[in-house]
Amino acid sequence: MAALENLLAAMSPLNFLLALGGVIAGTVIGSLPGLTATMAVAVLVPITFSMEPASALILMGAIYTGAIYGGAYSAILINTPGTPSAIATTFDGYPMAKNGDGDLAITLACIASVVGGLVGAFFLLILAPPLASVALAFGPVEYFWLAIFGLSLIAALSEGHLIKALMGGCLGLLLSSIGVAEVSADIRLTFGSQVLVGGIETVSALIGLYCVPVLIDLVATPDKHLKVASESKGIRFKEALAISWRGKFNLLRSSVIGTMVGILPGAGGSIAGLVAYSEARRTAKNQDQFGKGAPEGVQATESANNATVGGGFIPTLVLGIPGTPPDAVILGALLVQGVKVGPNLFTSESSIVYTFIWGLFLATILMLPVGLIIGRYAYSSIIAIPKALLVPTVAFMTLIGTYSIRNSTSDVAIMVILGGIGWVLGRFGFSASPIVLGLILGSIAEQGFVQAWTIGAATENLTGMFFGRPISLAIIAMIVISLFGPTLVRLLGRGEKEATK
Amino acid sequence: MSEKRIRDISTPFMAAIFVAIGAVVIWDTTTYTDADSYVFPRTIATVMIALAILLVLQWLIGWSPSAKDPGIVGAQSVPRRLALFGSMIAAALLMPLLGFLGTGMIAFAAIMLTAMYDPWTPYRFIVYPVAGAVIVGGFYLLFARVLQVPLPEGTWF
Repeated sequence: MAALENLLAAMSPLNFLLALGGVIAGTVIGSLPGLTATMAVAVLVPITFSMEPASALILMGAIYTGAIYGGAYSAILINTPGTPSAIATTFDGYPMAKNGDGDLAITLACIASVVGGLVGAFFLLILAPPLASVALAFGPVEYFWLAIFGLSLIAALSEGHLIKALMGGCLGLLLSSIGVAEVSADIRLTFGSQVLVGGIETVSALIGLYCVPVLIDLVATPDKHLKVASESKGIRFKEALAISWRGKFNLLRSSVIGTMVGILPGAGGSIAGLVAYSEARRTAKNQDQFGKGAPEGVQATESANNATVGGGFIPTLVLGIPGTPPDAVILGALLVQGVKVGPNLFTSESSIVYTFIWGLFLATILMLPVGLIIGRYAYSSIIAIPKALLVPTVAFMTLIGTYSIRNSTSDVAIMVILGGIGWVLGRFGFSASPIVLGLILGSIAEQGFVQAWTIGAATENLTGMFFGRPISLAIIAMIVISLFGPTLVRLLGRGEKEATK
Repeated sequence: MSEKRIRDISTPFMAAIFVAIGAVVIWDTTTYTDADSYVFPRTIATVMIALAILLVLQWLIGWSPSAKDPGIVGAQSVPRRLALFGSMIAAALLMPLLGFLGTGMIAFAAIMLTAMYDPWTPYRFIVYPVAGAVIVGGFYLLFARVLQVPLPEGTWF
């Protein structure tokens, strides 16, 4: 009975409007390169201070989930992830758009985001307290191995140039260590430059590495930006629904991965998307299509990153530990509201929590019509805008988006320079994705490695520290499978063929 | 050595650049005071140098997958590429001096001219600059007024 009351409370006209408005605002903000989900929530959080806690949570949850989905638009249409969570969406989304299937990719992303969001919210509703303990089981060494698992995706992204991809990954890891060392506060790799002391900001780096090379190539020829079908196919909802149904296991697996990664404090949607992408590719029959426009890649990333929304709320609400950066902002807003998060929240203030969870379901479902409508508009706009207006508009968005992250003109210069370097490296077979992977996972890997090393050295059990913990061993097994599984399967398949001959 | 490999000097060239970057990183790590600071970058730089050497060995043996032919750049417009990159760098450098709005307008106009392949009809001559001004002005207002981002005002004006 209480559940029905909470559901009805979530469906009140005010909460419905807040969920709708939040999803629209989040989607639009998330689609602009440089404006992350964290920023979307942070900018709009003051509005919630005068609201009831449940309504405030619904609005913030809706903005968050909308922003994570919105990042897919620019990832698919201009090869620039609107938010870091959409990095892996570029791998197949942009090739789909270039092949004339941008509308299909956007609809697939929308459906996948809704499925992921619903799965994440379902886990939050049913299993929040027991799942929160998973977060506590992850120590520094598990984070280190998780980052290495993310890096193992480099093998999948190597496009036949494994050594070059690994070199790019190393370059990204080195770029991530520029500035003040997180553990010991040494100034590293700045060569006396004040500009580099703050380090390379991840979002501006990925805007530069992904977007600037595309712009440089766009101005070089009079060709159209994206291939356009001879006749309009609309949003291709039925086609997308059929593909989604065929890929239902991929969607569910990726959503569960997203939820689990979301539970881990600090991991976030980008790692969730990368891990889910890696798993989707590993288990797919059409592995060679990944990176060239495989719908499964878009589905995996988008379902996983939206599942982190529900997953991230689990440690936030149960333990008071934010699962993802936007959760940290939402946690702050809840504290301002006087809501005490913690294990007792689900019993002492159950009406607030469960109204919010139902509100999150509502916002996620609303994302379907909202996402499809905005997506269609975004796609038709991108293909209709003449190149002479599209290129300067995107370039201007990269400048203002990068500046607004840390209010720094140095970040803008670094972004453009990295874009130029990315273009040159791309000409010689070094793709941007491994560099970005290294850059994003570098700080997590280093922090986990150094902390685990310090603890292992202090307890005189380094081997046990790195290789003796059950969760670590499970992740290591996944890394080995991810790196060598496809090669082994191929070799076994070849052996069988020869035996048959 | 095949003709193809004689032409593909980009592989050893790029490998040399990566070795140089790795060497500079290792040299920089010698100035750090704490082992926690240098363990990670030094290890990564060493691995990167090893990979670069492996790449050269692969190239020498002839196992290297063929690199993209950089000569394809010649079939496209190099000056336009350079103009776009230069415009964006100039925008980043001029921002503190001219302010964000002024820089944005100039950069937009420069990049628009760079990306323009169609003939300038009277319609385009009027509509494109107006559209540019609306886009730059609209985003400026969104960020500066609505989102309260303190965009640079400029010191020259």
